[in-house]
Amino acid sequence: MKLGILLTTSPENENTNTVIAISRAAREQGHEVSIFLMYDGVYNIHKKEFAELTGKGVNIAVCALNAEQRKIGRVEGILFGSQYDNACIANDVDRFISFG
Amino acid sequence: MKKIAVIVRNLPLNTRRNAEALRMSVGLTLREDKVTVIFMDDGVYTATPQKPELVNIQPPKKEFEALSMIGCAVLADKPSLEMRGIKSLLASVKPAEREEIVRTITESDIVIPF
Repeated sequence: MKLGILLTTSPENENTNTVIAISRAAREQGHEVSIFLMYDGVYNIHKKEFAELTGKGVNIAVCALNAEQRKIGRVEGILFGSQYDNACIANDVDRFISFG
Repeated sequence: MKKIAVIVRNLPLNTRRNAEALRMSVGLTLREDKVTVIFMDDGVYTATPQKPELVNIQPPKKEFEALSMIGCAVLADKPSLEMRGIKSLLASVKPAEREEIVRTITESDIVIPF
């Protein structure tokens, strides 16, 4: 199953740990996971545990506009994309969960 | 084609969240999905004529124009409007009975509370 996740809150919100836990569990069960970060969610790419999800095969994309507005530096393995990437995730996945 | 409902519930003037919800809604149409924006609770204030620039907030004019141009339905929950005494809405926003809101949500493949 393909799982899409939208995260719009910053790392101090409990949403971040939930997204990390769900993503890890889904990958361990062989599901595809794609995460899109926008608004304050873009701050999550600098949280170690979150960025490490890419090493487990989770696809992570951020809204580059929101990242630029917040002066967020790039992280290897994370796509600095656009709202089109969110549209692609929403269109392609079997389940889409929003955390905001 | 999927049906996507984006629900906006927050007050508009203390955050950019609502404008971002509208920008995201425009973006979600890029894969030919059908997007409906629903204003509920305090989110309905976003759908009223206002001048947020007076408090140094950029009005989400472009986002509303884009949603209108691409034919996205933009609904405002009537009970939320009545509870707040709101009588005037932006031209592109349609007041909707709770039944229509519920039907839109239940018929959607994806619901995004923003």
